[in-house]
Amino acid sequence: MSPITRRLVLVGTAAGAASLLVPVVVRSSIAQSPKDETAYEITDWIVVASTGEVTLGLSQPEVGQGSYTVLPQILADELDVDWQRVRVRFVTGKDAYKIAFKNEAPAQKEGASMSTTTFYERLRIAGAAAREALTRAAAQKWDVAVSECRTERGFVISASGNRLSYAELAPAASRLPLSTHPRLKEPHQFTLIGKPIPRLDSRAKSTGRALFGIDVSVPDMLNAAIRMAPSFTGAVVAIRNEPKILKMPGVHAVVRIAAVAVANEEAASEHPGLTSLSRDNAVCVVADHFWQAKRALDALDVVFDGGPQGGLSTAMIDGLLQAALGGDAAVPVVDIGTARQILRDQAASVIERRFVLPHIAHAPLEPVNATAHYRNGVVEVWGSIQAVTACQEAVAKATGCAPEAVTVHVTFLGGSFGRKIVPDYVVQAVQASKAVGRPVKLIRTREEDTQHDVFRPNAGARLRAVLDEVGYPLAVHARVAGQSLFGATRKSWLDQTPEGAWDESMVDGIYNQSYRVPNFSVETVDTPLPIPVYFMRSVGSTAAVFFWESFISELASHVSADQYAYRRHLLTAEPLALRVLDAVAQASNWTTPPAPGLYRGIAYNCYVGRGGRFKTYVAEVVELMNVGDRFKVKRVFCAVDPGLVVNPNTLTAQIEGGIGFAMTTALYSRITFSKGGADQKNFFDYPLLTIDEMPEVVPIVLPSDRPPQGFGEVVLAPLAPAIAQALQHATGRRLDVMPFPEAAFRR
Amino acid sequence: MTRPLIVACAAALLVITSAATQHTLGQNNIAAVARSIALFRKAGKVFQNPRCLNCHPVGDRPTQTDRMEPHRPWVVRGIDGNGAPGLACSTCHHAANFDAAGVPGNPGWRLAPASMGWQGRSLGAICEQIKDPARNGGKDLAALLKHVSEDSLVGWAWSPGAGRTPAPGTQAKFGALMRAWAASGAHCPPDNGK
Amino acid sequence: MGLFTITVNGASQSIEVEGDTPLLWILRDNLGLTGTKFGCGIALCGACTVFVDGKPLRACSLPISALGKGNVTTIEGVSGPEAAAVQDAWVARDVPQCGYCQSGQVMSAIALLKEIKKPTDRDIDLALSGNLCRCATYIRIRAAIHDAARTLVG
Repeated sequence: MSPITRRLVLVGTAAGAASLLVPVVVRSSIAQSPKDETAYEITDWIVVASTGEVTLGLSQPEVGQGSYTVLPQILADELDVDWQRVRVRFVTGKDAYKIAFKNEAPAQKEGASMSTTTFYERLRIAGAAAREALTRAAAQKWDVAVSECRTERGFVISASGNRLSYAELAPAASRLPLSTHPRLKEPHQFTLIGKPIPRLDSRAKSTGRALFGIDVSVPDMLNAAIRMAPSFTGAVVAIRNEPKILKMPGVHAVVRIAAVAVANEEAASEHPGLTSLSRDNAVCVVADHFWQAKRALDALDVVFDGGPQGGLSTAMIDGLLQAALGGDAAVPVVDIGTARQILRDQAASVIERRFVLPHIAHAPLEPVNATAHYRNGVVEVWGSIQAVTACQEAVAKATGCAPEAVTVHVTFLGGSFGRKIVPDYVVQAVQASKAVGRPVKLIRTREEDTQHDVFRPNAGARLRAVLDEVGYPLAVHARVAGQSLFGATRKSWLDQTPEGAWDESMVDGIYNQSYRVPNFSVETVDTPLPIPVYFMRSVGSTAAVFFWESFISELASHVSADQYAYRRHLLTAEPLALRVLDAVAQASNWTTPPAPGLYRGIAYNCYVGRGGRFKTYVAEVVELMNVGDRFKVKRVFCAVDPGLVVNPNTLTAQIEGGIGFAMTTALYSRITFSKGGADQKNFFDYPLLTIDEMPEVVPIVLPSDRPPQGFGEVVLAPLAPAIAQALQHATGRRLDVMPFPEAAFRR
Repeated sequence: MTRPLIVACAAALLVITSAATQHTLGQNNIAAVARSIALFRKAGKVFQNPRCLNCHPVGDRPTQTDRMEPHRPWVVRGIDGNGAPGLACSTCHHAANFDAAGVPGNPGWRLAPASMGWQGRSLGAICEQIKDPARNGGKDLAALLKHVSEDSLVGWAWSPGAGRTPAPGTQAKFGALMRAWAASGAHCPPDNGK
Repeated sequence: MGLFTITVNGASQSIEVEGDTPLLWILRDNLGLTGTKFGCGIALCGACTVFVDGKPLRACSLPISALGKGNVTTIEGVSGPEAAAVQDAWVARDVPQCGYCQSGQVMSAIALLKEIKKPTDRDIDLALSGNLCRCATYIRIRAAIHDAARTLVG
């Protein structure tokens, strides 16, 4: 604990309404404010101002999941402060803000549904330590024992009734050493944790006053539009009419942008480190205003080539996938019992199914953008950035400066789902700024955002099973193939075996599945591709659980078993799994025959956090109804065991939104490739679910003594197989691809 | 004795000639109707072009693009062809095409009434529809011809904006074709479901 | 390049700009009104919804040269009983997640309630089907519109 850290005094922090929403780096010396207000940092997370305002640091970007409210809620509860006087500031620059998911260096980042899980204890300790320091400061002032003092909503109160506010105590408290093991509240003492506290950012977001990356404006700023080579390995070959473009209204410069490695371009590449490559793969036009830049860019006659992989196509990708599924080479992941032997011995009884899923795009509604200012080896970046440390490292690598020389200001993110962890667009903005010597805000159009997403990889599976005499799985062999996410972007997360490395995300929900299968063999095959890929909400489980649950559905229907009873029988050794399965069956009246025209599907998954950090149990029932000549998803029951719920309001929102997100994936999402790049461009060929298609959602949240488990991603994966099962009941047709063809919903 | 014979012969000749004429006229009639229908089939290349059909749906929802896919977003005719409350056609479509946004426009932009729904209908059925004042907005033939030759929204089909294939020919040629068809008797192809 | 004098949120603004510039970018870049968002640029997502003379319009679809004397109202300037009811309902239900689409959602909801006092679910579907939400906050959007309608009628 460094004295410098503890004694930081912030002068002149503004208290205006807008400042609730504008990013501020805690240690920025640039902050200017009209009001002269002194503030004292009590811990890494808590600053108390002389006015009584308490600023809580938020280190996890607000991407829609509610961290802006939920994490401060934890701090505020242990701190025992008046929630109405709390304001939230995004913070960066300290080790306390860093986390690791698996075996990587800690970094400041948000993702993998880790925020609450990782920070719950840390923030409780910080809040409690701050409360203790304030209490001790009061005790010293009154010359009484600490045990004679208590706190109440921003005040320390002595046994004799003396009161001192946190504001009055802050100067003294900020000089006291912090306890590393302060006494935490007992759950029955919580005043905020566990309550459906309203979101702090709802008013701003409903009145157009929340600042997103795309809204940033800094003095002297220019705007830029960018066009990238359509082929992922393509380069800029020629710009033919640059002089003419430079004369267009508002235009300052035409800048060639150097490529950064986004996937599989370099064996050692592991973004978001983003090694710069030796070719220019984009051009951008910098102008006074964005439309001037875009207009000029559209008129720019630039020639791109296809590069070494300019022939990449969907047919090629599918071919590789099928070869991998049918071939001999695979890396074993799990081998319990003698699955392969049994399948050979009972070859005539093998039930086999193949599945194919495409790459899909994140499509956040705010297209990626960044504002950057490069000057003399120092870089300042503003925007929608989900991983601060990665951004600093990528910019440092690209410019040759030290990561500490990169200051990152984080705004609200207009959706990310994992996209805005990769700072490729930030590096592009930095390059533009360096070229013109002024701050530049670079915005990708929807077309550029879609075509140059970092996609969720494709995946295919081949599942084979033999049933026992009663009809339950005796032996199952699962092979999953596809472009390995870890292989392309995070080799340190691959699991190494003598036979090779395997990517846990590819079989997430299969290799660690919960059903009782006495002979179980799982293997993977990586089909590397030159396609930029990255983590997308729920990662590999969106594919793996579709394969696995669909196959279980098929096995059950093979013996005409009830889908709930079949699963239940296989989960009897997993009480927490049974609990959610039973809850969703009960809520949906599963055991009562459905009304005519109503068809149901059930699915289960235990979402295991990266590195085994948490386990969230989920079971869903989908109701399909006949509407005219089609079937429509009318209602989804979703039972969850998420451990302790810090905020039931934001949790329910994640259930609703997660199901809607998964509906889009099941019904619509597909990226195809030709001539080395992606085909889809905008919402007409990459549609999103609309309000009229959104089903009713019935959340069932089961109480739990477990600490908070991850939640942002967990409800997605079971939805598609549940819909597929319901459709199979309704139409007799089985689905082994996503997105489901439109015809699948016709009677 | 010769005059009555001449009169009788003349009379007989007249009878024989008128029958022949009628027979020829009958053959000419069939040919004329066929020519009239042929003219309308030519005009049908406009009527059944996606630029026109997209806003002449039989159901409630327009289509878009050459592939005639359901209009995204889901919009409907509404009470007067201008869309539903909250999402009128004019929310996005304005007086002129705006290529930068890929949105077509015309001062009269709206959906045709249900009585003028053409998608999926045979050319013969469309023909009957456009001739029928009860279904074509109360137009007689002259008003119909003026409409197709001069109406600005009809004319949009030939200047639909970037990325859209125009209707074949020009509005002037279409107008002339329709006038020729009207002059030829305005005959409709049989409504045989094609 | 031309000089355009337009009325935005009740204030007259004179801007020197090219006539083909979409109203959206005039609002955001020239006038600093960033509440109206850019999501797709082709009038498909609804994030850019404003009012012109009280009627909803997608600002990305209109060049400034075509605005004429239309009075523009953005999310920053929207007012009246429907606006208050909708925004209060939005907050009470905690509708927004990431929040990026919500300016457009709110504007469309206000437009709907101005025309239909007690919208049915189908009315809501038809009015809001063009406002995309990637976070899928649709359930709460619908509930908030019903809440707002109740506030206005009751």
